[in-house]
Amino acid sequence: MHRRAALIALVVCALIAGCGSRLTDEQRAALVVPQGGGGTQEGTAQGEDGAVPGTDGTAGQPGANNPQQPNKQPNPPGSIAGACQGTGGATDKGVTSGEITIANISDISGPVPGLFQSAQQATKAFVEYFNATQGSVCGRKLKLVSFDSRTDSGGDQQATSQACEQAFAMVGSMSAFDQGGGPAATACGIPDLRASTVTAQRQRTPVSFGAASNVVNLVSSAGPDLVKSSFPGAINHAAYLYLNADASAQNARSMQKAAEARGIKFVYSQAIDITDVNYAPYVAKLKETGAKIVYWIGSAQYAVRLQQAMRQQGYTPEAFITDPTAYDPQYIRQGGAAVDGTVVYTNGALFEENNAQVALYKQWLGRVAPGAAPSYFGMFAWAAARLFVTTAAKVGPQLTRKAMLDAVRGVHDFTAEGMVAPQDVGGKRTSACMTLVRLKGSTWGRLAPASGYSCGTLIDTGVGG
Amino acid sequence: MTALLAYTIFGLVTGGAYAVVASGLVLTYSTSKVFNVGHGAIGMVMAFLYWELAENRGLPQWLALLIVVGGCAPLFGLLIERFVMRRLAGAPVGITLVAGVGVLVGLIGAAQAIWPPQARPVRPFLDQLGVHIGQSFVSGHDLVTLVCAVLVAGGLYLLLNRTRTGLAMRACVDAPELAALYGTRPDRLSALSWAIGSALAALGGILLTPVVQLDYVTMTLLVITAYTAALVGRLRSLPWTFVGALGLGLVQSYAVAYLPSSQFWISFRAAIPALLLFVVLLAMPQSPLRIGGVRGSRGVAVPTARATGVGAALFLGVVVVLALLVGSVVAGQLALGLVFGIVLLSMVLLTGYGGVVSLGQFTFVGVGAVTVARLGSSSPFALLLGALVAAAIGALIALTVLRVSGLYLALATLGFAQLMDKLVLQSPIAFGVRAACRCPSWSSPRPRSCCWPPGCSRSSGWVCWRCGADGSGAR
Repeated sequence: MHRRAALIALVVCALIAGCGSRLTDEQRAALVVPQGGGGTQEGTAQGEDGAVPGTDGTAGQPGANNPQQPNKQPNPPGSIAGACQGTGGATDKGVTSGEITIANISDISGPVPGLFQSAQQATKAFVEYFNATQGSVCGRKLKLVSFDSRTDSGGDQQATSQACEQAFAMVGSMSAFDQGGGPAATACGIPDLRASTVTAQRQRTPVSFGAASNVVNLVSSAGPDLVKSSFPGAINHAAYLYLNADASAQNARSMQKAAEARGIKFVYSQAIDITDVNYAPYVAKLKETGAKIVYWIGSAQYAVRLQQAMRQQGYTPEAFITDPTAYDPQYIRQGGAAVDGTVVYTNGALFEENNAQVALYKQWLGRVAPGAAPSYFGMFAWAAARLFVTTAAKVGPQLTRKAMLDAVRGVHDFTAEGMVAPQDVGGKRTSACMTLVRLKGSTWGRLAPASGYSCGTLIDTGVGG
Repeated sequence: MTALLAYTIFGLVTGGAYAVVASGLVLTYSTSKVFNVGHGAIGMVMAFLYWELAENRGLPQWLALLIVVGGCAPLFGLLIERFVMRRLAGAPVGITLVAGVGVLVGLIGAAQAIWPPQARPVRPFLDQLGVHIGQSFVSGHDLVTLVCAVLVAGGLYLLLNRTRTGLAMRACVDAPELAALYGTRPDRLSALSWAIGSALAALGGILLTPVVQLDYVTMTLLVITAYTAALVGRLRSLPWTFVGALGLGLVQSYAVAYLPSSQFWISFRAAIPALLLFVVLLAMPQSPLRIGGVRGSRGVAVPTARATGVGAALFLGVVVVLALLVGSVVAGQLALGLVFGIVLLSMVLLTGYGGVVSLGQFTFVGVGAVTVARLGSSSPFALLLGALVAAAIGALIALTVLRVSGLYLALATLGFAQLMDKLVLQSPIAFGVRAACRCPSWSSPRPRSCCWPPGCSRSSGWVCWRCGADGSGAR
């Protein structure tokens, strides 16, 4: 009996060692990157005590900063926090003389592990960047506490309740089921500067604002107009396919309505259920209806499946247009040649072009999460963190949640220094500006306009508003 | 006509994939009397293993397939049988189902730990080959899937009906002691059936990976669709399982082609597997009168009134003390625990005393929440009415599904839950997609959110289910 058990244990060990276990790319990169070394800027990223600010759950101490003592060092010239050096003390929950605690609540675990990890990583990267190079917000350094909303509205609710108690504000958060935390956030009045608000309920939450200020019912005419100008011969034969899941379905209906209002004719519109196995029947329908442009809204993983089925059936539309979730290296890796030619609409800067804020984001992301790729949602989380700092600095030493909310409501043309298209954060209105990018030979490139963004008018589709 | 042919071909390909998965389920059940809920999870883990060998380590596809399907998967099946399932021989359906769920959850966790999330493309088999039939194209991988489905069904049929081993396997299910007297070794035969079942799960997982992509949940839950096919064969007949799988694939394909794309029909399409599951169960002959309902309560000790009173008072005292001592965040988490406790108490009544396994209890939670939301009142009467409506629907469904018993009954409740989710709870009359309902708060006369316990303040621990930010429908 013992020999048999020992044999089984041996076999299991051999199986695990031989067939499965290995280091992840991120773990490998962490081993390769010298701890605390590798350049002057990286050296400054760590505190004097060696702690890394913003470590998950247990907020790191930014350098030798004492939370009860204001940072009396003057801010470096050009600091995004300005020259404010007041000492307001503990003016509200999560605020001390020397520290402002902010919380990030994003989907890390759940059915799609790491769904919005990039938003949390970007917020962490910004906190580290700010504390290391930008001084303080009126004598206060930033401290980050991170929560996992578990891709679940209940998880978002619980994390928000905790953030209400522990933090002054929520910054850069991103959750697929973000409706869960709305009531708790409203009840405690915590300022909530999200990367983006996903659900209509969260969009209506008075204390929640998205750096990507999209709302479902307001769609910019710029998107359809750019498609019309880029694919003039195909606009009378468009198709809309979307994942039959909460946000995707509403966004698809709203965007289709807006496109129809701008003269694009749809010959086929259909939802694909998450449990559908074979996408070939949908492709057959696309062929049958003569669709020349295919819109897709849903996760990038399903976009890959659809395009692989299209390729297999020998169906190549003039354009396969999808949302910015596909603007990600993982999408290219997963889809390979099948996703070549994908067109993505975005209202953020392109990672392939020169942009100072994007460069900063990439640089500091590399420090907090070696090997992690920049993403659309990470970019907006960084932008949200930046907005928080600049707004808090404007409020001044007497930083309160109410004052912060009042200040955010006045932000209407936010670009994070050119990192994103103008966003009406305070007014909660979709950005009117957009860019189309196309994937060509595993590299994204600008399709239209030739530079910057194309801006249009907002169309109220009445869907989900 | 050409289009019809195309949709037929695609339906058969989909059905072939279901057939491979369902055959493994049927084999395991017909030879061990255990319905392996974790079948899809085993397929998922083995698909990851295949990716590791074929894509990450660069082994030839055929060699990786052989190692996983012929080596790792059967070995894993043997381990599961030896250390989990053998101990459950003769256990009630509820216990074996829970054990299967345990395997499922454990495997998802293990896969996430061993293979962290990242893109993992898997090449299809015979990618360069394929056949044009009319306007459609059947790829080499599709052909491999179809051929595997036929071979698996045929091979298993021969094994179970034409070999001494297969006959002994089936005999051991019906009367293990008697079979042992004839020289068979029930433990070994059970282990063999689990080894083959795991190998089939691995084969199904590997064949589906290039189609559905490699992820932790999709493939694990895909097997639920295959339940319908397995039930067509009453979990015993492989030919009928094969027919059921192909039929399901065809119906799904034709539904894409010919059903309208309005919201109702989108929901209807998604509910097709659950609908068919229900139809199949209803078409089954009514189970004979039995005292199975009493079986559950026979061994359950009912506490005395005094013990109940003392226990209740103690519990209440602990709750009051905790409510006074802990902060609002912890209070909220404890309140959520109480809500789940109430839901699980319903299982005590149903399964513990009634001997009936239900896999759809949370559906009634949704029905109650929708009722209260629709009433838009924070009155305790609204709460009572919510419970009554849920009870009425429970009675209605009981009239339908209590014709069957045991595992069939459990699967019928699962089908009911899926139907309610796809056709009712997600529809505009209930939660809808994004904010179809507003639910009242128990702490405020103004509608805000579905909360429990009644009377709690917003800052001291309330629990809201499905109703989010402003009380609007959430999932």
